[in-house]
Amino acid sequence: MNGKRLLGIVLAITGIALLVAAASTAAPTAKRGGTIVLDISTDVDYIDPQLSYYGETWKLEAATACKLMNWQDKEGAAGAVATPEVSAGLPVISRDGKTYTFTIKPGFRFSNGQTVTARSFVDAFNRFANPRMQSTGVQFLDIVQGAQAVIDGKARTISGVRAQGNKLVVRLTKASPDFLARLTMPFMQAIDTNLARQIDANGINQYASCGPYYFSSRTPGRSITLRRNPHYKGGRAANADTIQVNVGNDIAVQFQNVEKGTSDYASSGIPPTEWKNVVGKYGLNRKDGRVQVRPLFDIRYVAMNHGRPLFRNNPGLAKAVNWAVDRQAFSAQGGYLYGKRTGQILPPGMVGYKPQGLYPLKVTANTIKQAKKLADGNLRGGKAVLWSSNTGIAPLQAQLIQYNLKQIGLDAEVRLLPRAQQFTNAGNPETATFDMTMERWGADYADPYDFVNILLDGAQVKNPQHNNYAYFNVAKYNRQMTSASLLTGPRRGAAYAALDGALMRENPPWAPLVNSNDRSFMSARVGCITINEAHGSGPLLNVICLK
Amino acid sequence: MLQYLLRRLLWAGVLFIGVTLITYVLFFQMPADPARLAAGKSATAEDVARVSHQLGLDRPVHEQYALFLKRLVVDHSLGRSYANRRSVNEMVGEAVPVTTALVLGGAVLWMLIALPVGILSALRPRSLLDRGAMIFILIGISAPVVWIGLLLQYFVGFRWGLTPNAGYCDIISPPEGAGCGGPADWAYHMILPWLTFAILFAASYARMIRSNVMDTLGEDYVRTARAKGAPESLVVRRHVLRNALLPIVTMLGLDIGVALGGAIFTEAIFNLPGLGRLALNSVLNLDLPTMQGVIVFATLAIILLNLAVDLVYAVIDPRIRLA
Amino acid sequence: MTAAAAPSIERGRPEEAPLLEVRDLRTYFKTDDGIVKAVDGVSFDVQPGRTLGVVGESGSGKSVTMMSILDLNPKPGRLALDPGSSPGEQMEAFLRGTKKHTSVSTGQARFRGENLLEASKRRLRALRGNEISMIFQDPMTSLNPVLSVGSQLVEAVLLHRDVTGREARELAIAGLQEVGIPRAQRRIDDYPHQFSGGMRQRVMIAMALVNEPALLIADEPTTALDVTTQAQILGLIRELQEERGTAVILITHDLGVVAETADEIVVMYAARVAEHAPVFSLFEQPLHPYTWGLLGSLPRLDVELERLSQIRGQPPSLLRPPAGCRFRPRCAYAFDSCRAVLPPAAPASFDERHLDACLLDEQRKLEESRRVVADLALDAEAAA
Repeated sequence: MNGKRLLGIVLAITGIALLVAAASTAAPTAKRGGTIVLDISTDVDYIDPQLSYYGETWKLEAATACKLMNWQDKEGAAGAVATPEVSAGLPVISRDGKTYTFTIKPGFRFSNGQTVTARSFVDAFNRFANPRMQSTGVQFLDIVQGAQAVIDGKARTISGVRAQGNKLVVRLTKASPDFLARLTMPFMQAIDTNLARQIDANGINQYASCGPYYFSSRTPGRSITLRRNPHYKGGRAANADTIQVNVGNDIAVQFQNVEKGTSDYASSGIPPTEWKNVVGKYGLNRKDGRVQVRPLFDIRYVAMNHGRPLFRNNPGLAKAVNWAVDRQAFSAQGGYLYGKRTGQILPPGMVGYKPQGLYPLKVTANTIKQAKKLADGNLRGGKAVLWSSNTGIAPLQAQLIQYNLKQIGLDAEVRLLPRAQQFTNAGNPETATFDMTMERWGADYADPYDFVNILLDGAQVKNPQHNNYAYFNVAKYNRQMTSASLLTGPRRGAAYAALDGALMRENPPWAPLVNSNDRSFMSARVGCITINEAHGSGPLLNVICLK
Repeated sequence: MLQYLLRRLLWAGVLFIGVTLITYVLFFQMPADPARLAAGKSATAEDVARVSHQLGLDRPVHEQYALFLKRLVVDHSLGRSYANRRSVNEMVGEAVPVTTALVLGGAVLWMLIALPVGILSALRPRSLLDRGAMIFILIGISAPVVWIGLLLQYFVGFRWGLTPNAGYCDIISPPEGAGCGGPADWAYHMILPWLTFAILFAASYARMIRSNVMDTLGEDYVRTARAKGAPESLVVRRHVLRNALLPIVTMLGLDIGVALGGAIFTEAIFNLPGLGRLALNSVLNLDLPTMQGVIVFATLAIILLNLAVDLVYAVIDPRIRLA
Repeated sequence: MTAAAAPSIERGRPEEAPLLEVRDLRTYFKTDDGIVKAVDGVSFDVQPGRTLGVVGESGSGKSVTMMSILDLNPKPGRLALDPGSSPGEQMEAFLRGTKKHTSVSTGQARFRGENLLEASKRRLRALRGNEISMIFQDPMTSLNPVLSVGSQLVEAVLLHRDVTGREARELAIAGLQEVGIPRAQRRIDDYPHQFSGGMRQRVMIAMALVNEPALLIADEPTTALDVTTQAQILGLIRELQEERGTAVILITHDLGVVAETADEIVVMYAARVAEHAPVFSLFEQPLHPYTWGLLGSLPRLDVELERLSQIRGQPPSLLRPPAGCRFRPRCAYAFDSCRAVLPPAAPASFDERHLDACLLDEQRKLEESRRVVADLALDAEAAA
């Protein structure tokens, strides 16, 4: 998972009409009880709701948190819609779009018995913004009135978030169609009064929560335990008694554990070469089958830094790289069903996706010849710095790209960095000392805006924290991106499709490589497998059950 | 004796400062900004500056180092991790017992293998046993620890299911939700790590013991003992082994000292929350305080074991006088 | 002191049965390069209470001969002899055998009539350090550095005598006093490194004699010591020998050492006996060209260094010894037959106890012998 999950403007895109406020439950045949065990290879950052910001933690918090708005425990489109959870129906939104009034649905209680009230959410907002918490997610509060004053230490509580009986009133600084989607983030889950008092930048490792489960213990670097919330009456499934998370086993061990049955889900994946075997053995995507694969709105690519001399106004070389990279071999590193090779920006299934067919998905003698021809005269010294993550198969993939570049005369020096360091430094103009960086983007919601505008709009390249790793800033395209984002319906798709084609044909910011899949491998003893990528990869932990 | 101890301690101090200082200097050569890491993923430039100031990272390296030393000496504190803000003392304190268990258990195991193999093959050179031992030694020395560990893990732990394939259980007071605990679980989970950790050392110790014993067998005093009419068993026990194993004591002490700094490969393969894994993670996360914490402990372990070896040596070898 | 000084005539002809009879002893070693014939047909006797000097260059097989008698050659051991088979068959079995046995000794080494080459390991252990003791060249390395000298002496006692630890310690202290270690009572608990070289050799002698053996084999006991200490140690050995009636085999490369000490002398060259004679006869009428060379190269304090004649060339390889007489390549008197015949040690016509292994005409030998002895006398006069 990409560490960051910029949750976006789901409502603006899918439209209110799609909102079906049916809080459904999981399959009625589910067997309750027992312990589900899963493995994660690297410990989570925090389990503290106002601090945690890793995909793995959010996956766990999907089972522990209760939120005003939440994703349903469903697969497919139905699961990708933010739906009222603790909010009794949709909030009342003022005419100017700046004031949201939520009514708290009764019956939600924390695992320690406390009742969830409007106050529980006010506490969450205030604890989140508290500067002594040093939470890294506070950027998401930028639209909440009075939040910045708290962040800056000028106020104790956020003036724009108030509880009035069973009503919660939130005032925004501007009309923001994505506000309801932001509320699905675990940062804004209800917290009990004990946690509200505990202001600790190191994070709290045990607290009461109001979802189907709560964190009963955590030993950093070792294990995390979730138990069923005895007071939960919210209607979501809570099948296993206990969810046990073992930390630190690498993917080879995770695979062995799931095969042996000592673990139920290899949360960090299994060795790439094993996917083919397990699909052969257990089939693919059978109902409650052991191997489940879902496409992600996701892309792995090489960003070419247009802010540095090598790729600045050098479309010839950028195209040459697109001809040179061996997408087949790159994908093969990830193993069977790693994903689909791609030579364009938008992933299949996305609004605006149209097969562009501009670049080869397979390397042949001819493609290399073409790549060399394009590179000829555009190498500008022929030296490049290529950044990559230092874990998993990333170093191997970087080596492969390095080899491909060598073939067109570009001598790339590979620098391996911790993943967090890599994208943090890459997204900061002061530290972005790379010519190319191996990146991955996972969509927060299904819209081309989250790909094209978020990743390539030049307006952001001077920010110390942005996602335009290609430092792509061309006025013409900036304008086209903005106008495309304002369109709706078929015209929106057509505009993004044209943009996708034009960018890649005329001035490729990236060398796109693969749209990857979410591959889950589970033990023989578990069933009730429901996968909703909005909640995080893999089976929903509150739903999964022992057969 | 006292003078000797004082001199050794003084040297230990110099060594300690040297090692930690080098870590500091090297760390700041790395093309990474720990403040940015510590500030979090979406920190603004001001956040980074603030964190940098909080951590003292905006000061010159020598001042930071002085600060580190002062904190260590005055508060006995190694600081807090940049990665998760936990106390490094606490993290090192949790990791030390795991690594110690691995290393000491491994040392016992490797000596249990190396002593009989090395001695018997030296006493019967070119015999079947000797040849078998040489093959074991060759494999043990040339095969990477990682490979041996993964093989054991895959076959013994996974395919044959004889032992757990990874994980650690606390010998006493396991944390809630640990899933296992107690001496039996602990030992059961340590079997493969001990084996993995022991094989390389067992091989090199067997080789060392074999050649020491063979060399000693050729010593004049061994001939003297035989000429006195001593039976071979007495010759070996009293005259050969006493002398041949003296240098092994030194090696053992030094190796244990070094290994206590973290058996990185073994711990990583078997997911043991010891110093090696802590060191590995701290390097991957550019987490200087944690890295420094592991180094401080490892340096202390090496220094103390060196000292212990010298003292033990003075007791067992009459030729050595501490002066 | 001169090399040719006449030894006391009283050390005469033996009357009793020999203590040790060595006959046609052969010891071969298997090495990676081939078979090394380290001892290749050596015979001699040792009479009770007498001293046999064995002289030769290093590598001539003198030490290996003694080691073979006591089975002290380097491990792993020698081939056990089948008493039923002939020495030839035994040798054959060794050469065909596996690498497990790296050495073999055939022939006879009769100690009080018992062939030690065929004795069991147990029997040999009972003899070693008890009936037959050895001291070695380098006292610095011959004592175990990590055990106190006392414990090493006590060990020697306890191995062969049924006494208590306390008694053994008393015996050890007495032994140390006898060899002239001052304050033996206190020094017994010291470690070897706390003694000087000469003192260590005294400890070795004490250890070798503590069980009052019938035969003491002293393998170059003074080589590693300085000149004054050498004389003291030799004097000590002789003194103790006279007191106790111990027979001594004194191995040395120094004719000067044996001239004063031995009753009989065996000169070894390249694994074989070159000359074997009573000490007086050997110095009076040396019959082998190699012995002449040895006498010529005898270091003496009374002659200028440049006057020393050296034996030219190097001792031969025992892996591939020269055909015929082994001394031939270095011999100034060699003639055709020397290439063809390996001469056995044969008695001289005038004295059956004087044996030499040289093909030269006896007359010629006697003439040359006279010349060599006269030269030595001249040198002595010149020095005087």
